[in-house]
Amino acid sequence: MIAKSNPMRLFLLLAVVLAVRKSHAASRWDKPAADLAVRIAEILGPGQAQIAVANRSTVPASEVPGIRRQLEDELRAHGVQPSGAESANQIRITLSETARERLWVAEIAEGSQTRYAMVSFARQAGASEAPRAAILLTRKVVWNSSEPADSPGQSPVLAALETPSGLVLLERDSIAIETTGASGWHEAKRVNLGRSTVESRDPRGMLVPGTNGFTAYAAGTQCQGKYDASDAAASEWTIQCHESDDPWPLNSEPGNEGNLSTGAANGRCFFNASRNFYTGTLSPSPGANLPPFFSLAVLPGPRIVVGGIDGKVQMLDGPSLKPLAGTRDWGSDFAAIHTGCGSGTQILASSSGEAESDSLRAYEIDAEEAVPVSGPLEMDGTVTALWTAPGGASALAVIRKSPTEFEVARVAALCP
Amino acid sequence: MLFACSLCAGVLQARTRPRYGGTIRVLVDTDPLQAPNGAALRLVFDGLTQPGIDLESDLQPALALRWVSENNSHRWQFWLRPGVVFQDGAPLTAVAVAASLNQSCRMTACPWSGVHISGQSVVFIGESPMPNLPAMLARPEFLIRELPATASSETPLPIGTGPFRVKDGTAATIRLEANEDCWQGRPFADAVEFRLAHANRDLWAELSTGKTDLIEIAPSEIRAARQRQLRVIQAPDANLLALEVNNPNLAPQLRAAIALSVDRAALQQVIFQKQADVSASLLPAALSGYSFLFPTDRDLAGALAQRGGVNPPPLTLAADAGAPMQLAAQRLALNLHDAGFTVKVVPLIPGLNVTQRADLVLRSLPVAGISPGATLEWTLHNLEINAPVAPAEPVVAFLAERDLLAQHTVVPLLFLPRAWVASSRLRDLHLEADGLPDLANASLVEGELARTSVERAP
Repeated sequence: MIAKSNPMRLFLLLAVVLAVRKSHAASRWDKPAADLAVRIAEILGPGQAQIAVANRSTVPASEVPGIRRQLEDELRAHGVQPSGAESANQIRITLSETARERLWVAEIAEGSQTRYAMVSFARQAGASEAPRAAILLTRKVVWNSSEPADSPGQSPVLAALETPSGLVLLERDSIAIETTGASGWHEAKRVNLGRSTVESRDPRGMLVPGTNGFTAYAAGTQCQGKYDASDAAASEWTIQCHESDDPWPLNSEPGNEGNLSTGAANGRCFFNASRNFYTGTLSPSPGANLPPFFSLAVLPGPRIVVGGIDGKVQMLDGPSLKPLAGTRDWGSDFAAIHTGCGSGTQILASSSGEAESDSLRAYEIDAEEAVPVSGPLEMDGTVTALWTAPGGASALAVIRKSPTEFEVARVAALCP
Repeated sequence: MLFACSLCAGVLQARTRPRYGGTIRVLVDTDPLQAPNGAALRLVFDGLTQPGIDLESDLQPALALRWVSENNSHRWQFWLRPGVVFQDGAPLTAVAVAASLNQSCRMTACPWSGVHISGQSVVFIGESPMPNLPAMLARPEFLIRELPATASSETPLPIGTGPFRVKDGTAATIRLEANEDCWQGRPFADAVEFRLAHANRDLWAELSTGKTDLIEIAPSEIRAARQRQLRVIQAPDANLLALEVNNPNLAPQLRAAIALSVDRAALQQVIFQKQADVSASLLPAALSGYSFLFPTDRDLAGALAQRGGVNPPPLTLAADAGAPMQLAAQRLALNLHDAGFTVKVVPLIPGLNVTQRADLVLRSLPVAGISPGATLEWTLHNLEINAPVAPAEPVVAFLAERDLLAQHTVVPLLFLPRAWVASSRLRDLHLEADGLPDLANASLVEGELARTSVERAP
């Protein structure tokens, strides 16, 4: 409408938008540029100098001209005038970096003497990922450990749970309550699990919602978390942990732990606290012996799909376990989601074509074969945990994006 | 067609959780428990602290849960992690930790003057400030060992708190078994077997026949291993190759001439097959960020000018007996010859002190990739150079290093990677920043698992 009525206005609007975007892109370099200019001016004093800027870092080349302009502006503000080749003073600025931080180095040459100024500052978090587009799987980031700037070394996240009073994160050694505000996620409370030693190098855990709180299961430990419903502030959380070898519920659906044989319920299973798998001993018994397993999903019928620690995926249909075809490229983690699409229930399974990144894909069970019903959804990291979210319509996944960066994402399905 | 399908199967291998069981077989070039950076050290022993998982990570607590410094880093107190036991079941106590550290100080110079016990904590007292002490305590030299209670005619098996215990060993083989009670969790593999490599090992044959899962290779072998499609993993900048100038009678101009005449690019390209990083700094770029300020190019004209008309005395250059080091030494001797020096290459005799050594020594020093300050302090310690502890401020640290290198008693040359070739049976293998393989968190794929190991699980 604007374009038709007034092309000049559109042009001006576009110019303003571009200028704002450009200004925003350069703004993160404001402080280091100002700091370095101050240090240079302290050494050189007012006067003229030739300025050269070189980039030896991962700063995108497209941002270097903007950084140079910022540096020149800051130097002018401190009495150092950028000049041509006629000046005897030279300032060689190098944008460098270490594995941990950025380092900007200024070599200030006056005649035969060279002096140095440096500023170091934290690397910025990586650029946000591009959004991505049978059944279409969608992924929504619930939480990312890189968001709080003051937590560079995130402990492995085992499970997550959204509550009205904040996001609960079960980590290897503690439980954290994260609340969100205008500046992103904020850690409102952290309680140590009370263990100074750990049992498994591939730790696993589970969070089950309850009335005004949750129950957390980690190897050898169980915790109860409650919050004061009259005041939803996360600071009112009380969390108490104790040693426990009670069986874990197989699903995070509250109050849904009755009889496996009905299919609507999920039962409990003992978890091997010094390993990374369930023992296979279920309560109540499904009527057949199950092998030790990494993952289990209950489908209508009821049919139970088991991912054994030997890599075999089998289905308990009645009293016998049968191999499930079409699962050759399944990883160890899978979860059932009740989407209403197709047959109504699908299994999300992790798989990986590359060592560095996993994908998730939806399958339906047709007779004794798993049939893919969606394309792969790239997860941009390693899926370290996957479970059915409360409500059952989606799944939550923990993705390890780097050794110290984790993400919790919700994976849902759009029907064709 | 069959070939194509076998490739498909490999590509489609799904990500699975690590499995427990099996024996990881490793072929190493140096004694895994006795060498300074032995591959088994961190499997058997833990330190009070441990390096982060990579250069971007902070120092991590290990046997100590927390620590504080007082009195301008002259005093440090480390509180021990409760519930940790040695591999023989004895509890980890402050007494045991202090005894182990005191034993370490008999083998290597320590930055502290005393270790005291205070309840379940140990207190370090230093005559000089020790700002890098937490990082230093992660070094292999300060790993905690249980000392035998009584003297014995037999050498007891070493005992630590790490994920594997020493089961037995001979001159050629050391076998480790999983420590079920490890405070960091039981390792995935049941056992690790280290064998010392013989000179003419065949990498491909060792891996393809299943005799070996992991083989240490020299930097000069990396390129050939990649050309043979072997799976190479490496930690860059794990070792600093440097030339020590020991002869105190050499005039400063002659030492400067030596530093200017070395041809780092030729060493990097010819001897180390482009698998090293040229550097004239003691710290790699990934640690300091300012190493580019030290010029690396050879300046033969400058070297000749520095030497002037002085006829230098004949010099000896010592280097380790290994082929790459001897070749590198020969190459350096040629470089120095171009600048008017006469240099004879001799084998390095370990254990000699500075004054007994050759005039020049070519050394490969492990780089502790924990922090710039700690790395520089330890490198200078290894070079037996007494220098004040480098401050954390980058520009001050750079100026301190520049002044030190201007004395030309040490000439940094290259940063060398520490590299391994791994079989496809070994998964989730990660190298520490110093190039040691983290075998406690690695596992073997399904085919290698002994069924009994699963059945034995509680």
